[in-house]
Amino acid sequence: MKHKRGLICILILTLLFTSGCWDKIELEQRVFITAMLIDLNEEDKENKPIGSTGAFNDDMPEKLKITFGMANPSKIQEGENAFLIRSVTSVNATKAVEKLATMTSRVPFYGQLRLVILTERLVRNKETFKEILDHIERDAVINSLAKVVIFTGNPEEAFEIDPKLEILNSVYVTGIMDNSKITSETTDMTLTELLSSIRNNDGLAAVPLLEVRPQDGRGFEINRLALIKDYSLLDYLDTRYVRTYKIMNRKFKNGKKVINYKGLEIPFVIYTMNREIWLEEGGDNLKYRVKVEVEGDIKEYSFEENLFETNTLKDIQQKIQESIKMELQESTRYFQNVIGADYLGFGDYTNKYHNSVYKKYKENWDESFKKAEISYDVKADIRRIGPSKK
Amino acid sequence: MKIHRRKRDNEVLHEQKFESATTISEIIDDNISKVKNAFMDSNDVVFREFNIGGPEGHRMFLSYIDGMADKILLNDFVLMPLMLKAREVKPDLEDIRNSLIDATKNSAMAVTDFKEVDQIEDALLAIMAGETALFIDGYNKAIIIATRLWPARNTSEPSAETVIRGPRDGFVETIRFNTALVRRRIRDTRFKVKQIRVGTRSKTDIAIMYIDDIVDKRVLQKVEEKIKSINIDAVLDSGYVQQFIEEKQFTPFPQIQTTERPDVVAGAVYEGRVAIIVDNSPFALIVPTTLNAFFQSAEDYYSRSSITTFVRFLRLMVGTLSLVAPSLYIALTSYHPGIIPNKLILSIAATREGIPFPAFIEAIIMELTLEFLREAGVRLPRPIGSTIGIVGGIVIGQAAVSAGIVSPIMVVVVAITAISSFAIPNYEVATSFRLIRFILMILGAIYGLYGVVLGCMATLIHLVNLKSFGTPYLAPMAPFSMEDMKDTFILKLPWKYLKKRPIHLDPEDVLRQGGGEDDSK
Amino acid sequence: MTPNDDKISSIQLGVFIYNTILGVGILTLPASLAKEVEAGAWVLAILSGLVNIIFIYFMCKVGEKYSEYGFAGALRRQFGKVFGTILAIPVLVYFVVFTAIVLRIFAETIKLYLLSNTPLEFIIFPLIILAIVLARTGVEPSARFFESVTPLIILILVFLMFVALPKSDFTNLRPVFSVSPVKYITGLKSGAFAYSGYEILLIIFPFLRKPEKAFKVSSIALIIITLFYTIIVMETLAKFGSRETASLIYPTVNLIKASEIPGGFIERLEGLLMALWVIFVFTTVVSTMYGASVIGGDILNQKEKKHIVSIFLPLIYILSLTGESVVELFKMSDTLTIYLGTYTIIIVPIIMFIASLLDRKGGKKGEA
Repeated sequence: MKHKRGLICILILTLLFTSGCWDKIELEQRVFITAMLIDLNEEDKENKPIGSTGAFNDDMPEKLKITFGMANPSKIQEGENAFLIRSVTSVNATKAVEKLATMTSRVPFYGQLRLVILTERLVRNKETFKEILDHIERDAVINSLAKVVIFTGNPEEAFEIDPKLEILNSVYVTGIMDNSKITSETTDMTLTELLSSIRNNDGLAAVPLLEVRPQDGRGFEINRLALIKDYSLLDYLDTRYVRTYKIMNRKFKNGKKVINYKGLEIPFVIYTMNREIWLEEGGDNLKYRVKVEVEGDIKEYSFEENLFETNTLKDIQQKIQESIKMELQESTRYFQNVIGADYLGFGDYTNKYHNSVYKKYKENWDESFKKAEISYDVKADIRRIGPSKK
Repeated sequence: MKIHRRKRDNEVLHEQKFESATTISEIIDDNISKVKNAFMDSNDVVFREFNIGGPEGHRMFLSYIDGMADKILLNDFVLMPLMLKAREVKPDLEDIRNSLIDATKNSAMAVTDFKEVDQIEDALLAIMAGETALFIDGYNKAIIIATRLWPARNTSEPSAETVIRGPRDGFVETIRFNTALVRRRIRDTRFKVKQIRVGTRSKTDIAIMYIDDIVDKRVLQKVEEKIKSINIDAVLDSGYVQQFIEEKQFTPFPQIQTTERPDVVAGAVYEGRVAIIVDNSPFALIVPTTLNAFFQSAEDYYSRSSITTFVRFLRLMVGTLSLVAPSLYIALTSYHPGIIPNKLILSIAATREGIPFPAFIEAIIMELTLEFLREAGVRLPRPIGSTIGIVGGIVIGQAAVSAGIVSPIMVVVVAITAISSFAIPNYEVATSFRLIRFILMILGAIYGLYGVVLGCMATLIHLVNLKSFGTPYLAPMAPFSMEDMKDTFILKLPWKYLKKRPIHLDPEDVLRQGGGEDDSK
Repeated sequence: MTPNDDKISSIQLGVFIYNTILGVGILTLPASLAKEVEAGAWVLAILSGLVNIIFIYFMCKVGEKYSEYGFAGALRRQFGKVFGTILAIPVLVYFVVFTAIVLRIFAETIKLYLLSNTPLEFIIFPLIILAIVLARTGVEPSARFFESVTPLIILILVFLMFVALPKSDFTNLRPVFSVSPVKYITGLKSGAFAYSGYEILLIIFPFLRKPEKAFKVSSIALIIITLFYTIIVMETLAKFGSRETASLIYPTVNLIKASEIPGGFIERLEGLLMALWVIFVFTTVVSTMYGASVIGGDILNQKEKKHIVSIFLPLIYILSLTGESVVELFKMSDTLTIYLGTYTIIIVPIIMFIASLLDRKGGKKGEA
């Protein structure tokens, strides 16, 4: 009895092994998509009619142009040609992957995706953008921790940029985004964050903006934000307001604020930040009080000037507080008057902490936000001044 | 058919032998002829007839097997007093004749250990065991003198269970030495050494050792029953006994612990287990045992508890690793490359570029090579064995990589597997893990990670259903016992906290500290 | 030496209940709760966990009284042979269908996240075979299996909790009471069934060494699970916000997908955790299968439960493969919980409890 059972097990295993292995794809048969750039295919629009019979796929308008950046493992050690680029025009993203497979010798694999670049054109088109968002969420294999950026400029250029220190272009861009931890101007966003932000705020999100460096055109930079409202691109947020955005959304980790004190530009390195909002009752409009607390170090002063002095520090502290407060106020005014949409999290706060109030204003929140009176209260603490006294 | 008939013949012969069990006659010539007949054509048996008190004195006859008996003892303390010293006193023949037996036993032979038997078969058995049988004319018993002495290995450090901290003595092939090694560690009258003879022809001595008021009597009874029911012509090693008394024979997992270390046996006996020592085998058996015990080393109980806990945690990791490392490699590279970090997967992919085999075949090739090397290493003479290890490991691995047969990462995986399987303290469990590793590899190749998990679950189901003399194999994890958690797979508290013996063994006397009165009082 | 009577201790019962409840529910729970009460989902998770203690109480009281008879036996004793059998049959059907649906949902997720090209049949089949092998060995070895995987299961859950923590916004747990309290009451309906699995208590009493401790132990098991579930729901909300959570089918998997290990020796966790999650499902399947076999054996007056388990193999296998799409599958699952689930978890224990109050003689064997 025992022998028979063992024999049957071995037989089944052999059978499964010879006929099974349905999902097995050897590592060297795969090609890893590490980055993809999704663009609108504008050339195709006129050629094909919008409504097709539906019998064949190639009747349908190929509205997307997706460029896949694939890592070439065998070339990675050498560094040359490590990044393989293929552009595909297609009806939708899933079809694009299939089309990609018709042009490469290997099986495209999504699971190691690190970077998704959405072009400006695409994000301006509401319907297509929503399609892409759904594709990202519905695909089970896609790496939802991949970073997402919006790209302005010529899509052709994006992969042409020399990756500088890195081997792959995708690593170059994600590396910049990782630096949002230490800078106050760079921002960072993953696919999950984009999806939940858009879903929970009815199509509102602020996505990092990838640009080719305007000075020389030979590198990337991320220091602006693309503001998305109602599933399409609203505006770009200038670098000067990014810090306020990060502070108000609690995304600020570490960054420098330079202040002018007695004619000296002093860098203040902030490493702890805390913000709290209170809603104050009364009046027609909403009234918010925001308290921002920062802690940090002074990194530079002037040679032979004594910094080891309580009063000096107090003064500088005062200066920092004023400066940050002014920055916050100015930026808020910009958001209220120019942008006209609540990217600063006041709606979110009201919803969570004063739900009944929020329900009253919910229908026309942006208007209420524009009219809201927001006052700031900043407290800065200088903790350290480095190893020298003077 | 032929075999069958022969077996029948054997049985008949066996029975005849027992029927012919005869008492020792008073006439010495009868006895002499019986013994000589029994040992006909055996040239290693020595027969010595002699008279005491001169040529016309009393006839005596002794017999022993050359090489197994202590000749010096026989010469100096048996024959010398009987043959020579007896002449120094004026023989009062009548007097001696009347009290000859008494005089021989009590005042002539200067040996400590002898007994009397009245069956000729018992005498023969004793001779075969290395004792000397002395027959006296007119006396219907034979005197068995304990003269066992044969060339034996000295106790040396067990090679398979070396420790850094702890005693260095190990069992040898002689049962008496082995029981003594254990007895030395247990000075308690309640420590019992019960001896049973097994093997219709080999008549091998088997000692069952336990402490009377700790051991679970049901286990003891079961052990005795099973050992007594062994019906085989010869028992050459404790492995024979092990296979006879194990409940499930086809499983790769040993349900009996084997050890060469007397301190391990003593420790087990103190915990309430039963130890079995078989003559001619340096491996003692310990029952009941759990999987847990195979992951412990004797040293664990001698070193600091925090270190032990760490080491045990390492062993658990290492055990798991040796089980799943190659199958994980297969599953991850050919099914789920998304799990491996980006940079690593790209470098693995780069090394796999140009390898002609799929990951599974690659893994099988390397794992089998490893097994070959291991087997070869064991068989080869020791100095060459280690060379083979180095040559095999480095040269073949390197050659295989540069020949493009396997990828370097595979060599790393195999090396990790090999090292980790050696880090499991028990060789037998390490071996069974090797077997299961291959099954997991196949499952990993069919189903990826799902297959590996399925395989592990199947193994676990099997383990859960194993019992070693009534104790579940996975105790004290399953069934769970809080008390026993103090000394298990991972955790080991200092001795001070181990107040109780392992509960899962159901010892009669649970308390290890603070209970049990001193026997000497 | 443990006695060979196939009875389980109190700890084993707790582990049994714990592992039976923990199954597929954990994957879908945050979504179904968030759909009902938005950000208050975690409160609902606690509430619905606690509500189940009431039914556990009924089951334990009845079970204790009729511990020698078993479930079908007790029903027959209370309502007569024919009527009792008729009352027991839906519970049997419930266990069988429950097993099938759990297997199917499991296979669907495995197919979605791990083995997209492997046929569904070949995903379900090995698991079902293993489950039968284990269930055939009886309740005690099964309990031992559960015990030996419990540390791993707890380890996985704790690991999941810590890993999911970074980059979460715990203000998402507010507002708690944005919807009317009535919603919480109606939401209990879908919430409470996420904890189903403890109905195995109905049949397990004849196998208990100490039936009187059953209530305490199973409540503790349930409370621990409530705690786990609540934390998972909280973290899902914190990661995604209530609306995104509600829009996902398997939010817990998305939670894992969105988590990363600092230091990064594993890139993406969901593959690994989905594979380990097989154990969660396996324990559930084994115990519901065993439950079905016990009731089946009782109805057929069959002592040998071993073979009854094997009878269910083709039935469960075929049932698990019916249902065309995932949407239909979840519809089926909802129907099951609404009709058969309500019957098994709520109605049967309550009528049995009432009948047991009327039955003055009690369940002592001597009087039967």
